[in-house]
Amino acid sequence: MISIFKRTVKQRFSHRWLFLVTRWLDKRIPPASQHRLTMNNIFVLPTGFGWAFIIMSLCLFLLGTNYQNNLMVLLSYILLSVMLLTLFYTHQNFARLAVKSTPLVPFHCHQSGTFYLAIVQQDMSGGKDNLSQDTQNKPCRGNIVASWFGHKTQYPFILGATENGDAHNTTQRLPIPITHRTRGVYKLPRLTLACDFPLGLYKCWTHLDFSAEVVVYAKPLKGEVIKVTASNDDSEQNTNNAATSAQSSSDFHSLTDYKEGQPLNRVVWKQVAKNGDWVVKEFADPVQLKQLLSVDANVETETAISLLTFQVLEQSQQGNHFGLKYQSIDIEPSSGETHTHQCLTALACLRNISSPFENNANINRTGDNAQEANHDKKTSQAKKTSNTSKAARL
Amino acid sequence: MIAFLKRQGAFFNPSHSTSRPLSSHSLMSSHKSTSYLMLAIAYGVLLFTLTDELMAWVIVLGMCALVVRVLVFLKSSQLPHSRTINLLAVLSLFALTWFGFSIGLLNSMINLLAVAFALKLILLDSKRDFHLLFCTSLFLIGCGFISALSMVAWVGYLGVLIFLLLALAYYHGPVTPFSSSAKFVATLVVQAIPITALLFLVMPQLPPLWQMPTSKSQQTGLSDTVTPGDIASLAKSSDLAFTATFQSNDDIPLPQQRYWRALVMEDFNGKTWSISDRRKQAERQLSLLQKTPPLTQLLASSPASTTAYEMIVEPTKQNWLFSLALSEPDNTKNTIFVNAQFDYTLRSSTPLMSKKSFYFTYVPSATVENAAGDFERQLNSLLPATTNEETRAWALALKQQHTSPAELANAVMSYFKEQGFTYTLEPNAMPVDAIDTFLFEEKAGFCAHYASAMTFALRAAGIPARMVTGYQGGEQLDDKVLQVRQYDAHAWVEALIDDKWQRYDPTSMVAPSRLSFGLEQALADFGEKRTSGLLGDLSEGALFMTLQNWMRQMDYQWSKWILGFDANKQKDLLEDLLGQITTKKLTAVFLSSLSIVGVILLVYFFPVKRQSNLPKHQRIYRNALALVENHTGVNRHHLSPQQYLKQVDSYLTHDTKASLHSMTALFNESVYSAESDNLDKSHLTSMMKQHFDTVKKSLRQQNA
Repeated sequence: MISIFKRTVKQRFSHRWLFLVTRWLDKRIPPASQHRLTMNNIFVLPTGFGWAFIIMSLCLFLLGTNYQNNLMVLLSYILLSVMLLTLFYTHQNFARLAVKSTPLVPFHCHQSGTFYLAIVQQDMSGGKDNLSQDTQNKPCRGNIVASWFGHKTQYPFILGATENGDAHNTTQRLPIPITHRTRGVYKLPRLTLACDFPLGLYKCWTHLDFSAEVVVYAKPLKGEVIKVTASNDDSEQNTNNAATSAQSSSDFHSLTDYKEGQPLNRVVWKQVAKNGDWVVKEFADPVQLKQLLSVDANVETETAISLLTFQVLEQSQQGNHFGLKYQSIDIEPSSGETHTHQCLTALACLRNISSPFENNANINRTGDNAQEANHDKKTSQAKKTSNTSKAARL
Repeated sequence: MIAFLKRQGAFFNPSHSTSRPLSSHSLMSSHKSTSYLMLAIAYGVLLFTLTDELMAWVIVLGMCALVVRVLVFLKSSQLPHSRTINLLAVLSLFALTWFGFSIGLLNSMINLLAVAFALKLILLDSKRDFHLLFCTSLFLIGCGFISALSMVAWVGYLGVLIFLLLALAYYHGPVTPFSSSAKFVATLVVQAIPITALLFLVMPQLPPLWQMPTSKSQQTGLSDTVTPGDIASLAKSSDLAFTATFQSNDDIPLPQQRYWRALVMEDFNGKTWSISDRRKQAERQLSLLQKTPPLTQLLASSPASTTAYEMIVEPTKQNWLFSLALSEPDNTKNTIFVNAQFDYTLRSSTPLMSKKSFYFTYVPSATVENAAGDFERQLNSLLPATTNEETRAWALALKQQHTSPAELANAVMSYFKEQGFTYTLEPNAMPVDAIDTFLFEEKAGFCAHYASAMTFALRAAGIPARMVTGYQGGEQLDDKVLQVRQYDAHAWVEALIDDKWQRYDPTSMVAPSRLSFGLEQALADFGEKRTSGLLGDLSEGALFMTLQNWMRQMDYQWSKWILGFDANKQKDLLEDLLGQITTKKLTAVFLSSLSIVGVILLVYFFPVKRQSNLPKHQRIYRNALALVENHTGVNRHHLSPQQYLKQVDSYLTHDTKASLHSMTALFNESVYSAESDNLDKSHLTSMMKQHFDTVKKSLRQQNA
């Protein structure tokens, strides 16, 4: 009983603590897509080895004092001075680091995605007109250990180790795996970068917020869904869209001249090779499928979402026109990558009131709401873009 | 230690490998194995410097570990199985406990450390273990300083430290080339030296906090027992025993008076003289009764002439001390407290584990009193029952001839002088009735033979007498410094006559030059040499002598300023710098040294604004823009000057604007115009400067 009580108190305390830390960090290191490490966003503390080193120096001091041996005392002073200087060297090295986030590719919640962190060369980022000061051009060196804030798994990298061997011209990108077990749109957690160059006596670290969002799609699940074939009233759109539909589900129709922008896999390369005519295969679906996907309301929501996710992927791969209609989601049939992403995102973000997964107690609930709003904006934007693209096509 | 190794097992499994990009992984592992090898080499070097402390089998084990590391590095061998090593650990543990009793606590600790290091080194395969071994090797360096105190040893160990740091830097810089790691470590150590020196000067020099174990085997110098012949073996050694520094040349006593009294031997078992157990007991009792020994009262009687001097004593690992006979210890200055005893000898409160300074005041006129009354008289009249009958008979005969004890003692002295005794380092062995054989057959011996024989004879004649050992003589290093070496070890006699202990030195009767010119001369008189062989001849060359003298000087300075630097010297130094020391001044010193460290760090690490090689007028222009930025709070970013000026126009007064615009025009002309090379630079600069001043002035006015 008491232990349970204790645990809850502990939990509450740690939650509170975490909240305070996050709030403080938000103030201290505000989110940005690019970070340059400075005095304000680096933390430094001795590593375990560093503490051992200090203790060893103090032991030598004691030994030297007890034996009245000045050489031992001198040795301990040298070690302490080295310790002091290394503090600055570690900081100086780490402060040379500048990193930039790259857009995150969405992934499914059973997979792991990869967040690519680009190391920015300092002298590239600094302006170089003849009125601005030139910066030091030494790069940050050593081992970088990346981890997500609040997670234990560490991903070590070596700075300056490129495949070609020349570190000067290529920008190093650190692939940092990210996993999320539940679907949704998440704010990317703070990324902790740590470095113990040059002697491993100190650890310099920072918690960076790249203000990036990651969309975690639901886990696809093969199964039955309801496919309602939509009414086929606007037939001119049909023929137009045929160009983008996959060939597997359609029959060969005719050859036409190649226009810029048409997919290269339609080009009849034999013709090109023979007489240089760029000809494109035209396909025509006898019946252009325009389906609205949905699931029976009796099916458990999470399962339904998984089923739909699978179908969306499937349909998208086949290049079909499809729309979604499930609970609050209502997406008109269309096709293309943006559309697929829109559908998957909508599925990923569907609010499941009855689901126990909902309490994936994220650190900031307020942030959740913000995400929601953000997401809404995004989907509307996505809609807009798809509309405009449609318009362009028309 | 087994637990220490068992932990190894946890790390020593193949599943413990993190995923890393392949190419960099191989790069990293080569760096790793190189640094492991470097650590192993440093360990090997440390082993060879610790030969005094380590047992032979430990060194062999360490070398095996080194060989394993080299083989692993060359990829011709796999790491041995951890079970093998655990077995080895158990065996070593048995061996260590077995030998541990004979080599003493300190040495067994060092041996244990070395063994554990060797075993761990064989299995070394993780970062954690690397760090552990690194710290251990730092400690081993520290242990090296227990016995090696010379400047050469210090430089050598510093080299090992640098090498270790290099291994560490190489380990942690996975793609940094070796040369840049080396450069970094060199810079680091060079930068550390000023801070270290400051710490050494300013940090308080503490007295020993608790008693540390000392090693048994390494006691050097005089021992607390004397069998005639012992001191002769000491005479072969030319190691330094101590250095005495006087305030001026006049203070140095004459060679004949340089008796450095150390130990009083009152117990004789027929062969060996030793410190009497009854004396030790008595001393203990007297100190319990809190009686003041007479040696500490020498100055109380305000003698006519006194001489203060400082002695830097080489580590003897023993408690007893020596001083010019007779001197009172100045315990207000000594960092190790010096106890005086009732036999006028001195004991330090802790064994001398390193070179230490001691302060004494020499009172030439003082005499050794009978401080313990009848006890001393009794103790020093005892003779072993039935040995050396001939000597006893001779002593009794002398007693018949001479009525006063003083006359009798003189008669014994003159016996040595007249009977053709010779002075030699290598007398024949005298196994039975040594004193009889010496006095009446061999008539050749070293100082201990003479002292022993005379003491025995005096006791036999009923005069309380005892043997005193110490050093006699000393070589002048410069006009204030005397150096006494082990070959200056000497033994003489004290006889209780008129209730005072009178000094008799029978050796001086045989070889008078021993007192005035030292041992070498005395031996030369008898056609002998202290050392034999090639080196002896070499040491007479002029070049060698100069070199040796130079080395001795350096060693002396090293001993005085580094090894002998203590609270007292620290105080002197500060007093020289600041005058009378007060608490306020001490606080100021402490704070200022802290700020000096801060300044040093600032110099090292503050991003130095490299003087740009831009022409001067451009720099002035840039400064002007900076001023404007500062004033308006609008940052220029990457705007061109014209664009920027447009942006800040509204903030500025007319004057400023005009000057700025003309500056901009000048700047543009100088940088972009076709004839920029033909421009008069100095004229341009002065124009710029003029405008800059107006801008500055007008901005200031505006601010006001």
